[in-house]
Amino acid sequence: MRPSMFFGPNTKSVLLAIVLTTGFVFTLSAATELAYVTNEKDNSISIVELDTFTVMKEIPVGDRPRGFIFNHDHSLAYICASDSDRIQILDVATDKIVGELPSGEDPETIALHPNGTTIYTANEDDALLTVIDIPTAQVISQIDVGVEPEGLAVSPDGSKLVVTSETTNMVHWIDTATNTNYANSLVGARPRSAVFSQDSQQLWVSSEIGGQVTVFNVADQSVKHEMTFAIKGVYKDRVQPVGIVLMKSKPLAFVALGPSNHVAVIDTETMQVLEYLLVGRRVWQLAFNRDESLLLTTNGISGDISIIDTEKLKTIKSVKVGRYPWGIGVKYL
Amino acid sequence: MAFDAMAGQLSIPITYLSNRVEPSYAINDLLVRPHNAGVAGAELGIADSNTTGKFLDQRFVLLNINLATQKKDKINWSDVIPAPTLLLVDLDTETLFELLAYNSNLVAPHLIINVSERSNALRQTICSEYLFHTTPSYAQITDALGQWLLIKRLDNIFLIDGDTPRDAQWLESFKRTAKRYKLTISTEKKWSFNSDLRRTVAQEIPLFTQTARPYDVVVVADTHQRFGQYIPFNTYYPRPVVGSAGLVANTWHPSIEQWGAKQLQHRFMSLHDRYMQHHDYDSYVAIRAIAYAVQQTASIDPSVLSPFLRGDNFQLAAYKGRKLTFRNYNGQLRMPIELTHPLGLVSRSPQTGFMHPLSELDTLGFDKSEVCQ
Repeated sequence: MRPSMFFGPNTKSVLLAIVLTTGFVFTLSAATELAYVTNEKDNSISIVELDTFTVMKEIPVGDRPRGFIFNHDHSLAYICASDSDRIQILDVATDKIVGELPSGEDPETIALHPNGTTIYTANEDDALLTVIDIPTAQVISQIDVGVEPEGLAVSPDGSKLVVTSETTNMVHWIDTATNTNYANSLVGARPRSAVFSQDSQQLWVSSEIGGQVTVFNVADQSVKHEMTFAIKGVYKDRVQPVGIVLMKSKPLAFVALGPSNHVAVIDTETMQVLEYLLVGRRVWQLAFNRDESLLLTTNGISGDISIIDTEKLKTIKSVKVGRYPWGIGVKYL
Repeated sequence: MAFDAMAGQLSIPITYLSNRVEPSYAINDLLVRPHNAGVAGAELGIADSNTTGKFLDQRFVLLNINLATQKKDKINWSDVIPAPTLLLVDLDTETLFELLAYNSNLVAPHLIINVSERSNALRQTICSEYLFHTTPSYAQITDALGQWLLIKRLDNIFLIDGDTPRDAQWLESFKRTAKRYKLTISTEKKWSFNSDLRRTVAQEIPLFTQTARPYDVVVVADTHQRFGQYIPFNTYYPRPVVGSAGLVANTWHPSIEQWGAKQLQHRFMSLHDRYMQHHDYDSYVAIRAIAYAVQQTASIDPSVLSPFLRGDNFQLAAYKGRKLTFRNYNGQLRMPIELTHPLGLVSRSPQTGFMHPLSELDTLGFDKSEVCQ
C-alpha cells in the first residue's frame, strides 16, 4: 500500500485497492499525477488531473503568480507572486499557502539548489538575483545582474547557477559556493530560459527575439552550437524560442516557440529539429510528467495548456485553465 | 567577442539635441506634453544600457543640448557638434533639414537618429546612410489606422481637418492610406475654431457632423489636440471617432504591458514618477538601438555603427513582441503600431492578414519603391 499521506484531498476517493485487485481501471477513482499551473492574470493556480485532463480545482494565491517549482519530495511548492513581492510556499497535501520567503521585489522565476535548502529568484524590476536560505527564511545575498533577469538554472551538480537578462542580452554565470558572478556571455536578443543538461556539461539558452537557441559548453562558456527554427507558413519574426526542457530518457529537447504556437522537437545528438508540434497560442513554459510520457505546455494567450504525447510526438489534448497561464509543474505520484 | 581585446572602460557619449518650442495654441491641460517628454525615455535608455555596459566595461553618457534656449540666428553646426558623434534629434522640420544638409557634406558625418519628426517627406526624400528614425512616419501611423478601419469594415469616413500645417501633413498621409485601402472619404470638413468648445460642445459638434447619409466613422486630424477630444460621443450619428482623438495610433501607451512591457513601464515610473508616453518610447528605442550596435561592434564610430544598424544582424528587442529592424533604404525603424483609447490598448497593427513579401511590418509606411526614386 502506498503511504497514507498520499490520499490527501487531491484524491477523489480511495478506490485504488479495487483497481489493483480487479485489474479494472476506474480512472476517476485512481490517484493521478497533477499539473499545477500559475495563472498570471487570475492570481490563482489551476490544478489539472493528468488522467482525465480536467481542472480539478483552482486555488487563490498571491498577485501575478509566475515561476513555480516543487521541492525535491514534492511535498511543497514555491510560487513567485511577482506583484506581492514574495515567494509563497504551498503545502501540496492541503493546497494551502503555509508560508512565504523574502524575495526582494518582483520575483519572476525561481530555482532550487540540489541541496534543497537554497532557493534563487530573479528580481525582474531591480536587476538583481536574490539567494534565499529556506530553513531560516533569510536572504543570504543579492547579486547584481543585467536588466530584467529571467531564466534561472542551477547545474545538477550544484556548483553553478546561471541567470539570463532579457534586456541586457546576457547569460550571467555565478559560482554557487561564493555567490559571485564569474563570467558573462552575450547571446541573441531577449534571452529567456536556461537549462543545464543532466551531466552539467551543457547549458541551453533560448533567445526570444533573436530567434535562436544557444548551447554552451559549461566548462569554458564557449558556444557549442547555435540553432534557429523555421516553420512552414509562419513568419520568422513570430518564431520566438522561450521554454526549453531536455528529456532524461531520450536524446530529445523540446523548445516552446512563443507566438508561432509550436513546440520544436530537437535531436540533442545531431542538434537537428525533428518536428514542430502545434499547440495553443503564445506557448512559453514546458514541463514533463514523471515518466516523461507527457509534455505539458502553458499557452499564455489562449489561456490553456496543451498536452503532448512524447512517444507519438503528437499534441493530444488542450485543457482550459485561467488567464495567462505562466509557470507549470507536475506533482508526481 | 571583440571586447576581450579592449582594455579599460569605454565611454560612449550620446547627445540629445532638441529645439522644441511648444506651439502657442490653447491646449487642454490634460494633454500638455510633460516638460521632459522624449529626453526622459533617453535617460532610461542610458540607465538600462549602462546595466549591460557594466559587464562589458562600457559606459553611456547622455549630453543634453537644447537649441531653443540659444540665440535664434542661423545655427553654426560645427560649434554645436564639433566632433563626429551619436545624435538623437528632437528638432522641428526646418532645423532638422538644415542639420541633415550640413551632415551630408561632412567627411566624417554624425550618426543621427530622429526621435520626434514624423514627416513623410523626410522618409521619402532623404536617404542618407547616417540618418535613422525611431519615431514612425505619419504614413506608418495612418496605415495602422487604415488597416484597422478596413478589418472593422468602417470604410465610409467623415474626415475633420484641424487646419494647422502639421494637421495638413497628417491629412495628406491619411488620404494616401485611404486610397491604398479603398476607404471612402464621403465628407471632409475643416474645423473653424469660431466657438469655444469647452462651453458649447454638445450644440456645436452634432451640427458640424450632420450629414444627409450616415457615415461609418469620424476621422480627426488634430495633431495639436486643440478640439479633437470633444468629438467622441457628440457626433450627429453615434459613430466611433479615430485619428488624433478617440482611437489613436501611436508607438506607446501607459496601458501596454505585454511582451515584458510591464517591466519597462515600472522602470520608467520609478525613474521619472510619471507614465511613459510615445515621445519617451521613441527616444528610449533610439538609445537601445545605439547601445546594441555598440555592444555588437565594439565601436562608437558612426561609419561602423550605421551599416550595422541597417544590416541583417541588427535585432532589437523593444517590448513589441517581435524584433525591430531598420529599413535599409531610408533608415526607418519597422515597428508595430499600438491602437489605443485613453485608458487601454484596443489593437495593434499590422492587422492579421496584411501581408508583405519581406516583413508584415512593411505593410505600414513607405516601401522601397516609394522612397528616394
